[in-house]
Amino acid sequence: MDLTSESLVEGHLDAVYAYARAKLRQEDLARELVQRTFLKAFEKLGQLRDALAARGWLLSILRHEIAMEFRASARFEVWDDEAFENLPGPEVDEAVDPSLLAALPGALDRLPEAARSILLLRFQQELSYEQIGGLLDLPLGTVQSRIHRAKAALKAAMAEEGRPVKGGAV
Amino acid sequence: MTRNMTSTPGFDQQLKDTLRPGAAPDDLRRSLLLGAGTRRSRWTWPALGIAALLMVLLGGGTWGWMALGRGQEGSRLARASIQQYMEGPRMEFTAGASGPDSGEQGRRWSAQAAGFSAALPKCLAGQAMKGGCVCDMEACRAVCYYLQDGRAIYVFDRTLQGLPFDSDQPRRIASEGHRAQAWNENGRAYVLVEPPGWGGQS
Repeated sequence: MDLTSESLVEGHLDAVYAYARAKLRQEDLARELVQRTFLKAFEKLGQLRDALAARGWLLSILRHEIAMEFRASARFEVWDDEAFENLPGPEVDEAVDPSLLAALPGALDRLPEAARSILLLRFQQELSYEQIGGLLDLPLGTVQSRIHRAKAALKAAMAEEGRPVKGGAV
Repeated sequence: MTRNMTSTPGFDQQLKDTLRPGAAPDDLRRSLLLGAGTRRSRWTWPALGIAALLMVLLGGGTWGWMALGRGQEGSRLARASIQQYMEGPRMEFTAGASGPDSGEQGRRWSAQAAGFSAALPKCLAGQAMKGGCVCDMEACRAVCYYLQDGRAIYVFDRTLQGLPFDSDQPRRIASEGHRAQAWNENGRAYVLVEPPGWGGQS
């Protein structure tokens, strides 16, 4: 597949912007870092060997830009094992009550940064475990267990966030 | 904690559906497509290389002139920036804040007014600005910020051809008593113009 700068924008801008927006929670900053990401990607397009890996490659550039932006505050992506220790481990893929889905954005915001990131990579960007492992430099088993624990944390947060108010609809 | 569960579509699918990306802002897409248009795909470069080789073989040095022209883009934009600066300040945006905050104000304004976010370069971080304007030079959109100390910085919506992506050695020119230096930084071209007699550190 012949990959051009234009096809990079057409094929991946929406997803990369969505990730930046969800992760940074600031529209202006998200736009700026996405713009920087694509400009760098245009310059380095020759380094991308596999067009199918373009999404992961763009996200790795974006994550580098985010890290550069926040290097002073270093508030990103510390996975605190203790925080997840008491959560249920891997379980069946059991759906939540659809009415609770409205609470998802708020619940996601309350998760630790590293848990939010890994969920966004898996369920918003739809990256494979292998791709996530490559991006975060984690072994496959760790990726799997973190995703499961992050999902459990999210479910718990959604249940808290969306706790039905008496007489009110969600 | 995980109450209210049912067994209809799996949680994974629910997450995918809820988190599915919407559309990015149109102006961001336009700006990037514009930037993409100024660059060549990886397959185009080898084709250009072959064409250049043919030109050298057949045209006797024509490529040499083209390469020289490409390398001089920094000088051309620096000259154009000096000309624009000499026409006098055009304030489409006036900074309401002072000090470092004015830079952030300018950046936000540029995202709306110019369609791309023009941040000050590292060497001018924290510099106070009076205001700025959007201008088009050499078929390229730029944002001009007028600094409180009398200088102006032009931020272009692309890099300068013929200079590295992040160039730490700027191209310097002097014209009509003004001095200018052009460089690439973080995917953008910058031209800093100093008026005659400007005595600060550059």
